Amino acid sequence: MVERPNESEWIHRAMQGDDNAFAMLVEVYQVPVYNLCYRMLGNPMEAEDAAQEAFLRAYKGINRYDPERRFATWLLSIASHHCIDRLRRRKYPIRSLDELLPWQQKADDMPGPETALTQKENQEAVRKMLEQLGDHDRMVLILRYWYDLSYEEIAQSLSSSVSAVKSRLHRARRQLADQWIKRTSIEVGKQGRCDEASAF
Amino acid sequence: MKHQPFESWLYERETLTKDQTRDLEDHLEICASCRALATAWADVEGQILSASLIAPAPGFSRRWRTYLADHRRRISHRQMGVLLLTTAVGLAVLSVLFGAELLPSLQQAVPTLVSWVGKVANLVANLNVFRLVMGILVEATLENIPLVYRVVLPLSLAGLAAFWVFSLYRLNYRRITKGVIS
Repeated sequence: MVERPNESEWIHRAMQGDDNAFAMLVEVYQVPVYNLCYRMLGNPMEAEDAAQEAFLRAYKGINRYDPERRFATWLLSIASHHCIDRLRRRKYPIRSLDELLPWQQKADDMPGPETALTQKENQEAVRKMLEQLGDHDRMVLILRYWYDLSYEEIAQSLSSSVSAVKSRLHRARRQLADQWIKRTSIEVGKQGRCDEASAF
Repeated sequence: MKHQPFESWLYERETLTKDQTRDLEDHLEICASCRALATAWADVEGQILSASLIAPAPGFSRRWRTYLADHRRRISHRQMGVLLLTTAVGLAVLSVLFGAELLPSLQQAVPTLVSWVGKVANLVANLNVFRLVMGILVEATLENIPLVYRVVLPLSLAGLAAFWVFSLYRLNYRRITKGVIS
């Protein structure tokens, strides 16, 4: 994420209590923050609520923001902690939604029907795989792949150490690869059985 | 066949040296197990990298402003509740502290109070007489209440009243910033 030209000015004005300036920051960062919450919580409604709350926490704590740090990293750190808190408090298991809600949109431009279908399937596959990971492992993976944060930035965001981040990322990758092998072997098995049946 | 450290290196490619990368590639050529893991991870990584950012429903900023306004309203209501509770508790504490001490004095003052009421009823039309009555009232009060309570009680009540007025002023006339009233 690249900082916008006016961003530092908006931040400065927001720190002085300018609500409109903070609203501009909300406008700019709504997609990354919402995406993080959605990837973590797996539920559009809860992701919306968590994103709103993350922005509120950022608004209340804007005077604690260190301008030496990237604003995006600081904001994602707040959202990350909030999502982890929510998952810790969660009394019920993650509910899978078979489809995204009608009002949900991809951040990209609208693709064609075939591309949209493939993208949808990929999104669903990714979401299911992410759900299998532990909360912290999933968070590290999301921050690494969707936000391109360095190990140091991830460690800073999650109040953790670089070695812990590397360890979590390694574990998450290995788990995902193992899941993928299992999944593909099941699909190959099904395919094989179908082929045998058709041979008769 | 030994799979380590190659199996671990599969997931840390960005941190490997050139020699380590070459060793890993050599191992993958002869090890089907590690090759299967490498292919699986490459597929998964490709899926993740192709997954786009998901945007919220249109109007997120507007909904955030509403969320902020609701939050401020909740804070304001909570502060009003705390103010009322603090006042009630303060009055209760003052009543407990001073009520027991003042009760005998007040009982003694009842006949005097009755006589004040009578005098007020009779002489209300006459301002000069009213001033005289007020003088009597103050004098009688001062006689019946110990010196320490004459100082502490009014000061406590004045402090409570000042707290009340100041809080009302803050709640009504000063804007809320960062979720709290400044």
